[in-house]
Amino acid sequence: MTDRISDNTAMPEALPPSPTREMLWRATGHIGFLIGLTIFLTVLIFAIFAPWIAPHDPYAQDLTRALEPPVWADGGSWGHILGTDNLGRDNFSRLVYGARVTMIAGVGATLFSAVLGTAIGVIGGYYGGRIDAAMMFLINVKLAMPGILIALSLVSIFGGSLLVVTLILGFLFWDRFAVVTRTATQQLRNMEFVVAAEVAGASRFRILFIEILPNLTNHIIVVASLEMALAILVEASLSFLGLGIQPPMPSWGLMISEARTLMFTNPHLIMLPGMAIFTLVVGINLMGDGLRDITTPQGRG
Amino acid sequence: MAIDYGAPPLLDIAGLHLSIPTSGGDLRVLRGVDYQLWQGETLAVVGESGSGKSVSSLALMGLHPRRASVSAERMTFDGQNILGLSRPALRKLRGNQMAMIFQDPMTSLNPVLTIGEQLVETYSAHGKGSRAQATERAIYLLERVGIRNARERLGQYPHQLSGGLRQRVVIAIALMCNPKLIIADEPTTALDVTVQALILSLLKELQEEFGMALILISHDIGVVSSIADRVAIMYAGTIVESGGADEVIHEPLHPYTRGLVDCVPRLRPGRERKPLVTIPGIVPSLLGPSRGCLFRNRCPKALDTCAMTDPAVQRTASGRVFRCIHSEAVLHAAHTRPADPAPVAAGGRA
Amino acid sequence: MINYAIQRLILAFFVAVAVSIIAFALLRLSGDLAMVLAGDGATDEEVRQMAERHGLDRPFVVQYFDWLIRMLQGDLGTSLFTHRPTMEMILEAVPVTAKIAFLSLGAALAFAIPLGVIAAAYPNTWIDRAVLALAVAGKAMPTFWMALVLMYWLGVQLRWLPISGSATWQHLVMPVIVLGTSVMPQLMRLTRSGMLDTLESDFIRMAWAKGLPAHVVFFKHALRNAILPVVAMSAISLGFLLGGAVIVEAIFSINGIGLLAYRSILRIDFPVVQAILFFLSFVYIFLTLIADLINAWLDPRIKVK
Repeated sequence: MTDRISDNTAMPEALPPSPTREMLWRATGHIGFLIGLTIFLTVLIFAIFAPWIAPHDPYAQDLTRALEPPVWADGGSWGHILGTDNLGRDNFSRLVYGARVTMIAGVGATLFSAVLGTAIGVIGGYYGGRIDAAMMFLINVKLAMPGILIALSLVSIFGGSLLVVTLILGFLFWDRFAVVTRTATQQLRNMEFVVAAEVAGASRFRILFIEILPNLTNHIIVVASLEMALAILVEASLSFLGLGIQPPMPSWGLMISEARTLMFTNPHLIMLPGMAIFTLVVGINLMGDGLRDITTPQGRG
Repeated sequence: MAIDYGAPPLLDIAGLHLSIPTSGGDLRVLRGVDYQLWQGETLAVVGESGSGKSVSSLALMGLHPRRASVSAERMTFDGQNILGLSRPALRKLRGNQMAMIFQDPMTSLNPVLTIGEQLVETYSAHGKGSRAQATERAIYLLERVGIRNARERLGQYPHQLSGGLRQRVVIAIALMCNPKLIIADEPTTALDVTVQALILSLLKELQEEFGMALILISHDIGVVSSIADRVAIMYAGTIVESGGADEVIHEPLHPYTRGLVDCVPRLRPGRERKPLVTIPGIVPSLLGPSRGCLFRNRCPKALDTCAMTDPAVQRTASGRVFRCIHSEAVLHAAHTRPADPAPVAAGGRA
Repeated sequence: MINYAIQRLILAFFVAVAVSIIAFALLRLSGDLAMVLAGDGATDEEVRQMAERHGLDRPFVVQYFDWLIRMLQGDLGTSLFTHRPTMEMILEAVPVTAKIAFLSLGAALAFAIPLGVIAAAYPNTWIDRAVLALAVAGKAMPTFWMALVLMYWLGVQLRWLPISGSATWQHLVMPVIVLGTSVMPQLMRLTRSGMLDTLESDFIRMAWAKGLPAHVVFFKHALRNAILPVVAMSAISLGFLLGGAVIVEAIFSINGIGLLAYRSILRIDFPVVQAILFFLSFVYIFLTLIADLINAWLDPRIKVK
């Protein structure tokens, strides 16, 4: 009898592709994500290969060549494509090295806050009860503190080295990681494979690192990209206020601050680093939003 | 109220197609639906989930997903071509001439608006009268659907009412504008078994009192058989069989109907204790075009030819309609064979 | 509702206590304040005297409780720089900041809610994409840069608006635009996603089935449900605007709480910094408490519990 109904050819059947392949497929079709990724990777390449890309030493001053206009303006030259600042330093080179500072602060702070926040979120979500209440309390206290003011105070105390600024930023952005991983862990710990591992006598360590953490990766990456954008903005703000990266290091925020007195005569000095920050942050946000769409099939929020 | 089958039908649908574009191709949800409904008549549309039974009535009210494309040879309501209506014209029809009762009363009332507001606004939106008149009608209808202290209930929020009461409120909302047609989409599925029968008999009672036509959508042929005049069985986007309720249930012509009837223990003749019967297999994918009978993979009587051509619509002398390449006589002979094995044993999994 | 309110109040109290400890500890654990206060090149004796004068030689816990008790009595200490009571300085600065914060939140909501609703009404169309692009751009705009660009454009080139101070309403336009832009994207996205979720729900299908006009379905049925998280977010945004006004106040020379904090940090005027940190945290805790209670009040389902 079965042979009579074996003809299946006309019956359309959709075999679901593997999750990874489907994600890749969605990624290549997501224009926002691709634009964001391109911007991010471009800045990353500038940051990594800064010594080879920058035509001049970003610290070299030459007061005889101060405030040269960019190449497209009257009096500009190809020697300094984007002109020079008031100390005669090459703007393009400073922007390229500024990418390095921005990326170190942004990526470093995000890594730091991801580790801290995920630890708090996973511990709270996995153990539940009083431990969870304690972690939630920590998150609530963190949220109640005015972040920028705390960061400004800390920089004024510890000084504005790149390391200090990065660590302080790391302390500002862990709460979102904690909230997201906590919820996800709560869902995961009741799933069959985690319960099975528990019954099989796997150690807590093993369950947390082998069973739970890998399943949080998507969430963490999405939050990380969105928080990195914020971290970069705050680094620029701190540096602008003089309580972040200190001169003569080229930070984009600091460059805007230094050019402030000249903005009415040489507006491109604030436009260029401002556009750099804006473009990079737009790119990272597009990447983050895209990642969220790609990793969660249903709905864009 | 006697149904006048000589009059033109209130609702006349022929060749209704609906497809939704997806990344995997067009999802062809409705593949030619035809039925008619007369004033004062109750039609039960029965099928499994995914058969298109709900979508067809949503399309009728213009409530299908916006990206879906709809076409039909004929789709008229009260003499008007629904497909040709503008959005505003269709809106004026909805809730006014045709009303809908949704499946889950727990979620179909707005949690932040009072019961009274949700009753009154329908009346006002269709310009039926003043707010005072609307309130009077709301109270009358709430009492009519069996809610005591109607006046106090008007000020309450949905969460203050039980599921059964909420469904009564939903029914009252549907009745506010005195519609010609009510579509009830699984109106009792989400309710307690004890409440189900009450709500169904209430619907039947109201239908007779107000002389409306009623479309009752259900997955359970047993539940609707008692109150429906006619039954339409849907499978994979088409109506595979329709006819008078008694005839369809007692002498199913399509193998799928046969399977559905066998799934309901109390409908089986002889009343002997057989094990529960299921229809093996699953509803086929509706992606893209297809050839042949879509039920053939689950059908105990499938032949090679079932895969070759779409089954034509056949009409019996008594006016019943079914879609199967087997003739009425063959189907009957098969069913009445003395040593008829349970259908479950016959079907192979696709 | 009462139980819920009491629960939230207890949590808020403990958060406030924790925040006060951190605000206090932050500036004490960081190094020898006496040395900083005495200035560069001070002798050991001068440093010791400075420590004694400010009570910095006592144990940390004693110092904390001393500070807390005085604070609860309304004594927030005296500025090391102006020698005026901190309380007075804060109360002077708050109204300006509060005015700008409320105006900015109002402006942000006035754009965020209609745009969010429109985007949700036409999902995945060019309208939706344009609104989302606006959100991405607004979120990526560095506030200090935007402030400078506006200053240059509206203030210097077009000469429409004054570029610093807070004397007239014209002075407030640019700060409000900048701060409004900083909180608008999140409110808009929240409105949009809330609307999208709500529009999927059964009661919206029912509202359509009743033949209600689109504006009634969107604004009366959907927005009333979708607005709940926006209300909560508004309170949080207000907290952020009060605390995050540092940059804008510094650029536009507005004598608000942010500029006061910034100046005090630069001058190492720690009684003022501590007091502002605690004050802003307290305001934030209070605002989130209010937001939760408003939410409970707006949502009849919580009211009965």
